[in-house]
Amino acid sequence: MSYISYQFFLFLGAVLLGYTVTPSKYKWCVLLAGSAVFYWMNSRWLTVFLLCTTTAVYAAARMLDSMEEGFSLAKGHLEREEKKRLKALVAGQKRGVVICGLAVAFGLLLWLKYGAFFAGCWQHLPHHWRLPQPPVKTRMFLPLGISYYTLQAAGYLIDVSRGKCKACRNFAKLALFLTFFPQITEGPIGRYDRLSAPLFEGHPFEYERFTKGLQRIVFGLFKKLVIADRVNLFVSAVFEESGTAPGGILLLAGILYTLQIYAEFSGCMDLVIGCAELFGIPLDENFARPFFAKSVSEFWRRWHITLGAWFKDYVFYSISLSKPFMRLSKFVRRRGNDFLGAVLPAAMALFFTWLGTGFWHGAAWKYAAYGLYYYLIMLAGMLLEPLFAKVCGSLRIHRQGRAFSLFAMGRTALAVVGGMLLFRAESVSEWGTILAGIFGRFSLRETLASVLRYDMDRKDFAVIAVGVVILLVIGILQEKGIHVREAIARRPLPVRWALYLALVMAVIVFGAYGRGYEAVDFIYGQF
Amino acid sequence: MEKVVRVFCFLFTFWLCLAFSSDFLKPKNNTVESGMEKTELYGFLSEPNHTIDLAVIGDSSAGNGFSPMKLWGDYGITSYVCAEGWQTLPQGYRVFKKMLDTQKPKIVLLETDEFFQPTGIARTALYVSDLASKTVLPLYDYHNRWKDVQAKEMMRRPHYTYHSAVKGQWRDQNVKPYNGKEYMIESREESPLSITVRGCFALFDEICRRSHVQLVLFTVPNTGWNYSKHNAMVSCAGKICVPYLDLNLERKKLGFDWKTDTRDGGTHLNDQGANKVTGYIGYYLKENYVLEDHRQDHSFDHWKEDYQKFTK
Repeated sequence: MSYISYQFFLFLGAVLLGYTVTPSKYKWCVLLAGSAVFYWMNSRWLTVFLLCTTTAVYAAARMLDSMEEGFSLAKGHLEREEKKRLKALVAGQKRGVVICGLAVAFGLLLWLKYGAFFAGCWQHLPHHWRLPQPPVKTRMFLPLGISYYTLQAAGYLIDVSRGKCKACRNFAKLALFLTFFPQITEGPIGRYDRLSAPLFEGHPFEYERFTKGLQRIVFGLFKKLVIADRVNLFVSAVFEESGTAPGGILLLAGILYTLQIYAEFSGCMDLVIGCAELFGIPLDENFARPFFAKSVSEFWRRWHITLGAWFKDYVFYSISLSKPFMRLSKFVRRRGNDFLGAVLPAAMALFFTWLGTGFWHGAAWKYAAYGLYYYLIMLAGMLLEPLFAKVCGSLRIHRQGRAFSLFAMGRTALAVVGGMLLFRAESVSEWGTILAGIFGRFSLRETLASVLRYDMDRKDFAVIAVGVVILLVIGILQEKGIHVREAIARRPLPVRWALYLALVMAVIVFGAYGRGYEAVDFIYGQF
Repeated sequence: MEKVVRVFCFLFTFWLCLAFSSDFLKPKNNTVESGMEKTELYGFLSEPNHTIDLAVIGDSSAGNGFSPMKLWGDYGITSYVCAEGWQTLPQGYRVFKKMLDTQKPKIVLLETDEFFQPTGIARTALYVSDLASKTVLPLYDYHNRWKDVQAKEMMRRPHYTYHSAVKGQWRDQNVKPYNGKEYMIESREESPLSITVRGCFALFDEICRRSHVQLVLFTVPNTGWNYSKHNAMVSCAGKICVPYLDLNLERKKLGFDWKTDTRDGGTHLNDQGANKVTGYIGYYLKENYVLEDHRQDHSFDHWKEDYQKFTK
């Protein structure tokens, strides 16, 4: 059941009605029932894997809690040395429990999502090693949202082990946290300490909140149906002929694909957050105008924010603050290189973070390359920063100025387009072919002559241009700290209604759906 | 209270926008160039008003299994087949309702294969939403015409020019025999009908009664059919006292042969099969109903021209 289908909106309406009429104490049960039905309708028997992860994480978190409680009770009666010993013992046991819980969650993810990939890699190992044949050969079935709920479950377990939150005592409530239906398909990846309270406490129906939720849903549909799905016409047509298309067309396709993926993913997030808002549940934002970023690392703090934050909190810090890395840093500093001492642990931790981020997107080497592409750009940025600062200083370039900011935004956007081309290509070698095509076959005249040959006419381009201008204006206003929905809500009624109706009618009339268009699945929904 | 009024006013304004845009974007002709979807299905729009005496509604079984020109040639009865692939009962209902805007058929033959299109909650929701959206909101079907439509079209009244010389029939002369076993094995089982189908059939019956159209259920020979479906249709027809003709059981009388009368190994009929089905139904209609023979009527000369083309 896609988020942009009639069925989903009928289903959403039914759950909302049930949620509204149910007493506050039991409202979360309606959400759980709705989420269970939604998941079952999408995944059928694959639901069993979600149950396995939920059970493992629930049991592990409860064990951690009881260990902590036991330690708290016992430590009062112990001497200092005994307390220290017991603390170390409990810490070791807790580590073991966390590892077991994570092993189940990530084990299922690795098996189901990466099993075929690993098996393929295994088969490419030299024959003279005489290794046994791998058991997994074909593509496995993928439960809905496994990449999202696994990270959410792992984050919860680590948070409990770090004492950031208490373990959930109610299995059903934990199941709701992991399966909340608006966010199960594409995130945002929720944190238990922020999401649990609004999810479990019942919220009465509020007219203002309801209308705001609807506005956000419609805006999400606008991004998806009017911009992303229309752009898809051109992008698909060009990439089908990536070996022969003119360089300028390939570059334009890369730019439009970046726009497509942004409009689609952020549109889906608007839809998801809007749906949750109808129930009074605030979800974490996943986008913060990423194309206003002045560097690639800033871009990733604005793009898929919850994924970046997850890797930062649970991978990057875990590695960079681990004892071996701290020792390495100290060692380098002692040798007199403070800069390298600061950069080296971060650079090494970043490597694993970006390798993980890359592989999270899919089970193929191109995704690893995708992660490492950003890693190399960030690493170069870190290493060259002193030199860059020196050059800017000597040339008297004001790095906080508007002109330099625009240049930095353009530079970042270009780097992102390069990454998105890799994301779109079938393989790293195809990415190379596309890049070679962009530079080798670039001709402005040929580009202008053939731009309308790829399934999009002037009117399509006009619609997209208007859509981009709308996104840009909203982005600029938001960058200035203006809350657009609140600002519109303060306008006189005719203006307000005209804007709302214009948006709805734009979705209905200019949306790329129905006859003549193929339904385009959410790209990030396939993870 | 103020909020309720505000919501009502907003929805009313929204409805006005929808109605205006729908009217603006709706095709004003039934040709492909004008943006009409399924031109053959809606070919009846260009027939002169009140000239079709028999409407045939159904999915591909009806499209391939009935020949209006054969019926004209044998009995002088005017008919039109409103068939579309995988047509569901809600879709059939919608087409029939559209036909009643310009035609006053005396009889409607409803092919029963569409009573058994796939069901399920999601499918049911899809049927209902599809019916609602396309009936209430033609914009859903035709919104993509914003690129082609011109301002002068806005006030123009529809003028339909697409003419179907075979009156909606899907002609096919291929022969691919069915060599399987006999599929109509007598049993007492009864296939269940989904809530959507039952609800929509009640609507269909009601609109027929209101418009004084005699409803007749019929099943074109089809090896996907079986006795439990037959039993379900017998009881369905019995409940509202309408006739039901299951031609799967009348194959001998039709002279039907699965070796020569199907185009795809038993799922659909070819022209020869359609002629046999039509011959049987024509005789049945002549025996049981009073339908005018228009062959001597000069106002139906265009039917004669179409028939000449058909027989060439």
